[in-house]
Amino acid sequence: MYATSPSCRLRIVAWDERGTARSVSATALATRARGTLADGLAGGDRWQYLPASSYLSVHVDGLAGLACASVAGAARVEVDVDRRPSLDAPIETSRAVRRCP
Amino acid sequence: MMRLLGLIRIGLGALFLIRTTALARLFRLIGTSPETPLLGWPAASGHPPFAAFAHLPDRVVETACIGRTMAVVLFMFGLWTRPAGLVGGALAYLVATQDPPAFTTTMHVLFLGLMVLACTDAGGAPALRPAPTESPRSSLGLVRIWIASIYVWAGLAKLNSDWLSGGVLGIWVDQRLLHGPSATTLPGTAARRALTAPAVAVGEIALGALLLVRPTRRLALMAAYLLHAIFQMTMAPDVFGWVMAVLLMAFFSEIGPWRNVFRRPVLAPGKIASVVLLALVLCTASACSDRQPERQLSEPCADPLVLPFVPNTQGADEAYVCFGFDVAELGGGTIGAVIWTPPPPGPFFLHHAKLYAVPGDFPDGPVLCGDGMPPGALGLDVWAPGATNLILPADVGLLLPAGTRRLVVEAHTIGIGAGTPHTASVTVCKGPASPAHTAALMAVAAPVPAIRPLTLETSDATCALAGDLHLYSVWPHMHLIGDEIAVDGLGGDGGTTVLMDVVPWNFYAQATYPLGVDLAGGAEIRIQCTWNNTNDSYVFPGSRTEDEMCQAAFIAWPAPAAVCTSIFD
Repeated sequence: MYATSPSCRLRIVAWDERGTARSVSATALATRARGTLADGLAGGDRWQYLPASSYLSVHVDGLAGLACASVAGAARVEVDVDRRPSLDAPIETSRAVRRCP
Repeated sequence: MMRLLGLIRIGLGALFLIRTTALARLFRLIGTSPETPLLGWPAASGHPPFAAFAHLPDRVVETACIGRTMAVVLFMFGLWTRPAGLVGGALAYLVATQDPPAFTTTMHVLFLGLMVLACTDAGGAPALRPAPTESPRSSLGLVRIWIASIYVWAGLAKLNSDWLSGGVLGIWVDQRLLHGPSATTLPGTAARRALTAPAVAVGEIALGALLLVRPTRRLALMAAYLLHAIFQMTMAPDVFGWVMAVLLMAFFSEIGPWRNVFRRPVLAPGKIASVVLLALVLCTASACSDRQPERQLSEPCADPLVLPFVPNTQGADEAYVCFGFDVAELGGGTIGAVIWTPPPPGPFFLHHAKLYAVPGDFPDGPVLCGDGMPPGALGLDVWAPGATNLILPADVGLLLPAGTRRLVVEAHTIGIGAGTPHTASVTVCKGPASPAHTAALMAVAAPVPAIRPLTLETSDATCALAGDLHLYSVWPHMHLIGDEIAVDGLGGDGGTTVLMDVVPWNFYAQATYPLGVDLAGGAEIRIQCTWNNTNDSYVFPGSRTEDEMCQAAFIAWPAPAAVCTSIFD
């Protein structure tokens, strides 16, 4: 796991009932998470070296759920996890769009 | 043989317990806290990490944590060793599925080691309830092959361009994941990293093979211990070095007397390879692959100008506090070194600090830096925990920019307690009176656009050098939403040299990077910055932290040639 340099970042946008969009910091999600999930999310709106970067990509749907819970008044959220498996690899984006209950 | 396996069992069990229980806090290992007494214990609040397979109820995870610990205690003391080891390992893996990012290589080796040893005669002796032995020889063989495979797999995993180019080591350096003196000698420059990285990969693969062959075992064992000592001192990969130190004990038997290592003619290819490997490890440790002498202050700082400052937050939780000093005390001479002395532990933590040469007035302070440095201010050096001091070679003196009136320390300070703040200082050492090379600061900057919300913006600029120039170091500088800053040297022959490429940019981990590059007069320097504005508002150019900049400050000589003229002027 130390042999490559994967990195990732998160882009989170939330819309309210009137359709007004606002960007949400990944750290806002981190404050509602615990353990390594919180560690991975904190400061995650910037590219950061994260050995388990695929973890966030795989669970992008779960992150969307967490975003719904984190943003008061959100009617819909969109979470993009940009992942770069290595320094010279192209960026892979995983996206989840969810209507918030 | 059996006793050896028993000792390994006890050692591995003890490390397992230290790593997965509250004992970890005694050794400052992460993973446990007063709320989570055992590794993997569910926290009381917050969204749990996403599980690998299925999310288990907290009660089940807590029971598994307790069961794991009890099983490992039994395993360590030699009570029902085999079932205890297998159950302990299985429960450890089960708990790990609940928090996949916490499952590291170190954990995998610990958990699997428990199960591998449980399958052997490790429960024979010493043990409180010795298990009957079945086949000590094959037991030891199994453990040895497994240990050797760890090295081979680790080496094979590193056979990728990311590692072999030194890029991964570069990120570790950028993010200050490496510590100690070897951290600056081994991977301090791109050239050294490009040598070190393949050496580590090849060395690990070779170690696996050489450990299994008796004639080379002793030397390979020495190399392995040395390698882990270096890893532990530089990047401290959890308790991995300690785990491997215990496991390597499996190679202690059938090793032959020490005298045979050098008495026998060194003819066997394997033996030669192990000698080369050992030399490689020693060589890498001492950075002998790089002939450039390490920068050191060869003599006490002559006639030092000590600039004391007291980092505090001016009543806030966190603040940028500035202190101004009169530059006249330098007497117009050159600078040979800039040495930082951070404050001792106290109520305020110095996150990082920068020293600027400022052409205008600036109050003594402490004052909140507020709007940032005045126009024309040029960064001399930056300090952050773990950073090395700026120490120029003995025959080089750094001239301050013409018109410099004040030296300003900008201290990013965080309040962490109550009490009286402690004093820090930056010592500016005078350079030689008649330096062979008179260096100067040279700034290269690109214009910063109004950066649109939720947009990735880039900007670049190119300038041409007036004359031949030696670039000694570079300090790139952007602010909070900077994503990447790259500086290239464009030779007259059309060739491009990457001088520096910091990606991802981290405002809180700024550093000065050594260069040692010669560029001919007429060559061009191109700077390119990328910003990622994830905010829903514009970010504008400016010197305040919340504004943005794109600048690279070089230390270069000769001073008269340290001028880079925009090719669009």
